[in-house]
Formats: sequence, C-alpha cells, structure tokens
Amino acid sequence: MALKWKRSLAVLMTVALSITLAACGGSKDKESDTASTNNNTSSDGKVKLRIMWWGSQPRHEATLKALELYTKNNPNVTFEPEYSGMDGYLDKLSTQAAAKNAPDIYQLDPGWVSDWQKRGQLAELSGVDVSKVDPKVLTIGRFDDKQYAVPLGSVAYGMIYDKAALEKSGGAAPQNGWKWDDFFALADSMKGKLPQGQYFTKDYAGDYFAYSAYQYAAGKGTIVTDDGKFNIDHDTYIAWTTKFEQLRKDGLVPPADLNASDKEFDPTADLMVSGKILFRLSFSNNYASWDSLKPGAYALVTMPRAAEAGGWLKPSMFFGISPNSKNAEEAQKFVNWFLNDPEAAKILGTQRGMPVNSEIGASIESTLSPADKVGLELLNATLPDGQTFTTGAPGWTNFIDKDFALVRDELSFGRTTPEEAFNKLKSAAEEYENQ
Amino acid sequence: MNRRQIRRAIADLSSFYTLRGIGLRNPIKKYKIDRLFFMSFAGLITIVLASTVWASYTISSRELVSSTSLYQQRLLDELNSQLSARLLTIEQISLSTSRDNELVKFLSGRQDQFERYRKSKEVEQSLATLTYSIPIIQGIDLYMDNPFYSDPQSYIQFRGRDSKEAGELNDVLETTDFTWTGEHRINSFQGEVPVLSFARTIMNDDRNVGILVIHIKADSIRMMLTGRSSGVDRLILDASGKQLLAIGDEPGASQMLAWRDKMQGDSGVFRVHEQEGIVGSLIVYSRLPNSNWMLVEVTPWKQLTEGSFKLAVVIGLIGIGAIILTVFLTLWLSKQFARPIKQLVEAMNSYLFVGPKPNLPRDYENEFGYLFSGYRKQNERIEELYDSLRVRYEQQRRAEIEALQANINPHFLYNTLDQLNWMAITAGQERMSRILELMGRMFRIGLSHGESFITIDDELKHVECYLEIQQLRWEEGLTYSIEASSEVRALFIPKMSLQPFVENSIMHGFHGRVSGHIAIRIERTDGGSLRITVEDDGVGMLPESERPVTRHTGGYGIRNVKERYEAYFGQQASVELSNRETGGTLVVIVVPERKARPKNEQESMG
Repeated sequence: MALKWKRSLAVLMTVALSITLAACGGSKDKESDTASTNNNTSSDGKVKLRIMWWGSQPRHEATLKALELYTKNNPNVTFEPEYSGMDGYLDKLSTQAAAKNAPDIYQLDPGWVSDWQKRGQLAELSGVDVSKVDPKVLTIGRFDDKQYAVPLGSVAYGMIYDKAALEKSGGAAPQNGWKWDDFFALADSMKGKLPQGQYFTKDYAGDYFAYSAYQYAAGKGTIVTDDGKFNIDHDTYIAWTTKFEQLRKDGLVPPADLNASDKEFDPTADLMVSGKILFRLSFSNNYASWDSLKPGAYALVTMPRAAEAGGWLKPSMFFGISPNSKNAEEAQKFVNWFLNDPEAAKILGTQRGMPVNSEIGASIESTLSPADKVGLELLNATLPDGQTFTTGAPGWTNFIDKDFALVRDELSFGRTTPEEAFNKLKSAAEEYENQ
Repeated sequence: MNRRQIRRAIADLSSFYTLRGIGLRNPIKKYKIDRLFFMSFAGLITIVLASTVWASYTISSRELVSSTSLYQQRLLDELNSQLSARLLTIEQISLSTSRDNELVKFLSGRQDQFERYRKSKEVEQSLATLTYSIPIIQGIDLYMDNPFYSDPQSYIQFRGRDSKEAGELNDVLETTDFTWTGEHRINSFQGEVPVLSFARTIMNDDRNVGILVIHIKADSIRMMLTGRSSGVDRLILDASGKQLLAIGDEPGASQMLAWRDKMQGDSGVFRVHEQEGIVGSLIVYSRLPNSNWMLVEVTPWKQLTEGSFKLAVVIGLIGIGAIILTVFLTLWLSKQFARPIKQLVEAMNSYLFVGPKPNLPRDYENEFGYLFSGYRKQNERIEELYDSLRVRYEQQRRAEIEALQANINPHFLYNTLDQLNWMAITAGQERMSRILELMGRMFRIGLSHGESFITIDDELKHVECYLEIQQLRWEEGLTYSIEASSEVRALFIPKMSLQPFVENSIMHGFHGRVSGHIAIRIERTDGGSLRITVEDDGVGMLPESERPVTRHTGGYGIRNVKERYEAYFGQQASVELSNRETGGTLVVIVVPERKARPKNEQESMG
C-alpha cells in the first residue's frame, strides 16, 4: 500500500512540475507572439501622410482642422504636415523632390504644374473625382488626358488698402473698375500728405505680377507668351518703371532696404500691416488673412485697368501627389475628400480660393465668413472681363523667380535705369527662349 | 504460549506508547505521527518551492541583467558610432559653410547696401538649400552685425551680434571655436521645435565676424537614439559630461554627478542600488575612442527583473496551488497512515477481557496488516492463557471446598465414632470398641489438618490401624510385617498412599482364604528416591479378561493414588503392580525423597 502511495505521489509531483514548466514556456511563447503581431499591425494598417503647403496662419489653421477631421473619420490615417510661408517653399519642395523625399501630397502653384509633370514629379490622380470641377481649370493639371494635379479654388487678383490711413491722408476710397491712371493720380495726390515713414504703396517697379497686370491692362498680353517668347512691351515697361521711379523720388514708395524687408502676412514685417504703406496687391482669398491681423482695417478693390482689365481669375493652387509616395492610394483618397467633401469645404472656407467644385462652392456660399464674402466680392467684380489666366510657357519659372527678381531689386535700389532693366530682362530671356 | 512470549508481546505493544511522552529532544518521538508527517511533508514542499522560486528569480534575473547589459552595450556602441558620425557631419557642414567665401564676404560688411541685400538673399538661399537638403537640419541662425529682418518662424534667421543669445554663445565660444548646446526650443512654422545646436565662430582674417548656429532636430536624434527600442531611458553626454539630450526619464543633476564618477574607461556597466529618491537602475554607458560623445542607458532595475519576477510569481502561484494540493494530500495521507495506528492505540486503550472485542480492519495487507493480525493473535493467546488460568483457578477453588468439606465430615464422623465407641463399651462389645478406636485414629491421620503430605511414620501408623481392624475382623490368620528405618519414617509422602494397596490385598488377594501375610518395606534407593514395596501372598492379580466387571471399589483407591502421584511428581514417581512368582501381588512405588512438606502444592506441579 505504502509503496503504491509513494508512486502515485511521485506521479503527482511530476505532473505538477510539468504543468509548471508548460505554463512558463507557454506564457513566454504568448508574449513573443503578441510582440510579433504588434509589429505587423503597426506596419499594416496605419498610414502617415506627409503633406506640405504654403500660406498664412489662417490657412494653416483651417488646413490643420481639416486634417484633424479626416483623421477622425479615418483613424488609420494620420498626417505629418509641413507648412510655411511662400518664401523658400518652392526651393524646399524642389530640394526634397530631388532627393526623392518629397511629401506624399503637396501644394503647387498653377505655374509650376507643367514643369513638375514634365520632370516626372507628379503621380496620376486616377482616384480623384473631378467631375464637378470646371473643365477649364482642370486642363492646367491635365496631360495626355490624364489628371496629374487638381485645382483647389479660384481667386481673383486685385488690390487691398488701408481704409483708415487712406482717409486720414485725404484720399478717396477707390472703386471697383478704377484705372491705372486713377492709381497713379491717387499716389500723386498723397504727395506730402503722408506722415513720416508712411508710403503710398510698395515699390512694384520690378514686380512681375504688378507689371503683368499693368501690361494686361495696356492690352499687350502676357510677359512671356504661351509658346515661350519674351513678350515685354518696351514702351509699356518703360512707362511703368518710369512712373515708379518718380514715386521713388517723391517718397511715395519705401526706400529699397525697407521695401526689401517686406514679408507678407508677417505681423511686424508686412509693410501694410505695420502701417507703412496704404496699398498692396492681393489675391481675393488673402483678405481673410490680413483681416485676421487687423480686423476691419482693410478693403479690396479690383486691379486697376486701362484698355483692358488689369486683374484676372486664376485657379489658386493645386494638389499633387508624389510619384514616390508609398501611400499613393490613401493620398488620393484624401485629395478626393479635400476637393469634394462638403464638411471639408466648410472648414476650409475660401482659404485656397472659392472651391472649384461648383456644387461645393454653391453650398458654402451662405456659410461664408464676412471676410470670405469680401474676397468673394472681388472675385465677382473681376469675373466679367478679367484676363484669361495662363500658366505661361513651361521652363520659365527661374526667369520669373530669379532674373526678374534681380532686376526688381536693382530698380528698387536705384542701381539701374528703366531702359537698362528692360535690356537685362530681354537678354536674360534669350536663355529661356532657346532652351 | 509461555511467559517469555507474553512479555515480548507486551514490550512490543508498549513500544507504541513510547512514541509519545519520551524525551523532548527528538520531535519524532514527541509529536503525533499524523501531525509530524503532515508538518514535515508540507514543510519540505514549501522549502523546495521557496528555493525554486528564489533560485529561478535570482538566476534568471542575473542572466537577464548580464545579457541585457551586453546587448545594451553593443547597441549603445553602435548608436554611438552612428550618432557621432551624424553629428560629425553637421560639424563638417558647419565648418565648410563658415569658411564659405560668399558668407564671409557678406559678413565682413564691406559692400554697399544693394550688394549687401543681394548677398543676404544669396546667403539665405544657400543656407536654406542646406536646410532643405539635409532634413535633420531644422534651421540655421547667423549672428551678424546689422542683421536683415527675418521672419521669426523662418528656417534661416539673421540675428544681431548684440542680442542676448549671441552674448551667451560668445561666452562659451571665448575658449573654443565651436560648441554643442543642449536641447532647447526654437520657433518654426509648425510651432516650437526642440533642437540641438552647433555653434561656430566665423573668422575673417582673424577677425570674428559672426556665429553660425546650425539647429538640428532633436526629434531626429531622439528617434535615432530610440532606435527600434521603445520606452528606454538614454542620455547623450558630451566629453565634459554635460547632457546634450535625453529620452525617457531624465536623471537629476546630483544623480548624474554620482554616476559620472563611476563611468570610467570607454564603456561599462554598473548598478545603482535603490535609495531614497533614487530608483534602482542598471547603467550602461558607451564611450568610443573616435567619438566625443558618451551614450548612457538607464534601465530601471524593476523593469529589468520584471520577467524574472513574473516567472517567480508564476512559479510561486503554481507552487501555492501545489502546496494547497499537497497540503490536502498530505493531510489525507497522514490521516490514512495514522488512522490504523490510532485504531490500534484505541483498541489497546479500550481493551477489556469481557465485552465486545474492538473491531480492527482486516483489509490491510501491508505493515499495518501485520500489526493488526499480530495484535489479534496476541490477544487470542492472552485470552487462551486467561481461560486456562481461569480453569485452574476453578479447580483450585473446588479443591479448597472439598478440603473444607473433608474437614467438616471427619469431625462429624469422629464424634459419631466416639459415641459408637461408648455404645460398644456400654454394650460390652470390646472388639467393636477397639475397631472404633482404631477407625478414629485412622481418621485423625487421614485428616492431618488438611495437609496432603504426611510423615511416613504417620502413614505406617494409618496402615497399621487398618491392618489391626482387619485382624480383629479376621480373628486370626492375617499377619503383616513392616520394615522402615527411623530415618525413613521421618520423610514425607502423600497421605493415604499405602492403605489402598493393603485394602486391595485383603479384599481381593485374600478373598476366600483363611490366612494371609502382607509385607511392607520402605527403603531409600541410590538415586535419592524411596522405594516402597507392598507384597502379599494372595491369589495375585487376575488376567485382564477375567476380572469381574462390576468391581470398582478397590480400583478407585489405587487409581486415586496413581493420579495423585502423577499430579505431584509426574515422571519422577511410578506405581507398578505385578504378580509375584511365588504367588501374590507385588506393588512397587518409587517416589522422590521429601524431607519436608512441600510449601505450596502448586509449586510441585511443574
């Protein structure tokens, strides 16, 4: 009997021990299992989209809110936003693209789209529904019947001015449809009336967009033709630069160093916001940005005209997707949402212009903020006979950003005469014409 | 069963009682067997389990610590070389940028306003390109005279050399040309960003013209430092032991100071024991010969030994389960083992000769079975013994009663004889009177105060009385002779030993005869015995077949003597009857010599 007991006891102990060992071994296995599955899921489901844009603070805020909403609706998608002002934006994006390290989604100026597409830096957007978008603006992003970039909104180019400061100096508020002559006459009338350190407008003598508007109004077309020819009208250019030379002499535009320190939308460095100038150029959608810095201080007016309208409508900006994106599908879904979702549109307002999706545009019109409505007014005022926007000839980006800018500074600093400036531009353009 | 066996059995039984009560020294002899068994078994299991838990915890934690520190060491060395390569790249970029001709020219400030503006744009552009193309660079600050205004959020900042930050930097850069600063925050479009900064003075013809500060993203370094591991505490220290960046929990300054003393040599590992305000940790550090940086990883001791602790807990829990199980098992087992002993002890305690016998289980086949059956057998033997004693006692009692009765009857007979004697004297019956007198004497000797042994002298007197009575009856013809020395006469024999034989001779041997002689001789033999012969010259004994069936009286007397002799002496005595060759009967009695009466009749019964 006793022996039997001993035996059964031994058996019992063995069983207990083996259970113990099995339990320990088992738990370890489990741990390693869960660890490996964790790794898989983290690399499987979650997607992080890098997105890059430029803009002012209100646009950043609105865009971030939209991203937040998207993540809320699609918890597997998160964003790594990179945003900044316009300064250096293209350089940064180009550098990243050259390193094949561009964000998944990036904002592009319509003028850059064709260059980027040609360089193979845009992926086809087959997954974005563009059926509600005005076909006219779609063409900018369409190559070989394939969509490579989608427009996000349309804006009008006009002017903004400081209402109170203008009134204080005895100037009458300009009306939509005013002329360049009115503009310069108003400037002249300010002569001697402006307080110390205040100027009428920026030194736009060498500004590409301001002069474009002037040449448009003169009925001389674009600065560079669509087929890539230098098209600055000599007399118009001389007239324009000479007029600014006079304003410079009369102290109606800031001295060169002050002029150069201007940073749009910067609370301290924006010359209009800091009260140093009365007039500056503005896109219709930017009104809200300035209004947020000094609510109610500013008003928009159409670009001055002459024979023709000076202002134009343009698709504000585009979204493109990097061909190197590892999450192109999710990126397209997001762009589609950004373009077509009414909720997104409600958050974004007209930060990137009036939505190009006509249905969405109509739906948010009633909910627009007062500031957005001001922008919309300029858009509507420009619409009837505004200039037809053109992206210009491909390959001329540097001409506008580098050569034109150099001449602008030389004019501003008084280093060159109007005639010399024209010649410099003309000879610089030869390089681009023959590319 | 003899006495020795009984004694042994009792000793065996009483050895169980010695389990309790003897001595305080040996617990085995002190405590109850079931408790002892249970306690020692449960205790053993507990000790084994506790040592298993302890051993598994200590061994596995020690192994874990050593393998972890080895692994961490390698990882840190690897990270260190990666990190120093990365940081060295930044230092080199800073060097080449600070010696860039355009930059130096711009800072030397010998241009007119336009040129300076254009240069600033170019410098900004080239620095921005650097920032764009090297993602780890968050931004670049250039401290200079008369800086251009720059957007405080912008990547590239021109700052005045008279600013507060420049002053702080200049203090550091007085002794050295370049320096790393610890983690701090700078503005960006995306809000404040934590950065590490590398500052270098820019020289032009031995003239200090500015400071180039490259901010690198602390998060990138942090990510690199984190590597694939998460939830780790790591530090980067520079050559002087100043903390550059930390991930996870940062140790306090005093703690760092204490650690730094222990961080000798290139790489190593040490343990910080838990103290007030200090968490017990394992510190692994790595300093590479070609690196200016030291990487330190701090692992909380608890986290390190968590696995071992878990293992120990699991083993402990399983063990507690096992203990509970074994406690019940041992409890049951010890009960099972102790129960038969208890039963046996109870059986012994409650043992009674009368009444129901304790019922001991019969299904045990092991030692308990032997014990039970042994006990049972011993009980049976004891009972047998008891029964035999009871029988003997019964016999003795009866004998005593008989003797008492015998004491009473002779007195009655004696008195009656006396009366008869007087009646015979009165009636002139002298012969009858003499017979009655002799009878009375015979009775007196026969009684002998109830003694069983009497002297041979008395015995011979008794026989002579009987013979005289017979002679009186016969009137003549009956003779006898007695030979016994006075020495012999003093010896003792059982009473009434001779009369039956004499009676037998007269009644049977001389039946129908007119004369007869009886010779009685008693003598000592060489072997220390007495030899008693009774001879007659009668008819002798009839062969067996011719003996009358009905006659029993004479036979009774002789048988009685034989039985008594057998009882008193056993083999030592003998009684033989035979026919003499010359006619008549010869009785030879051999009996051991007795110089005194046996003290106790029992004693003579071997």
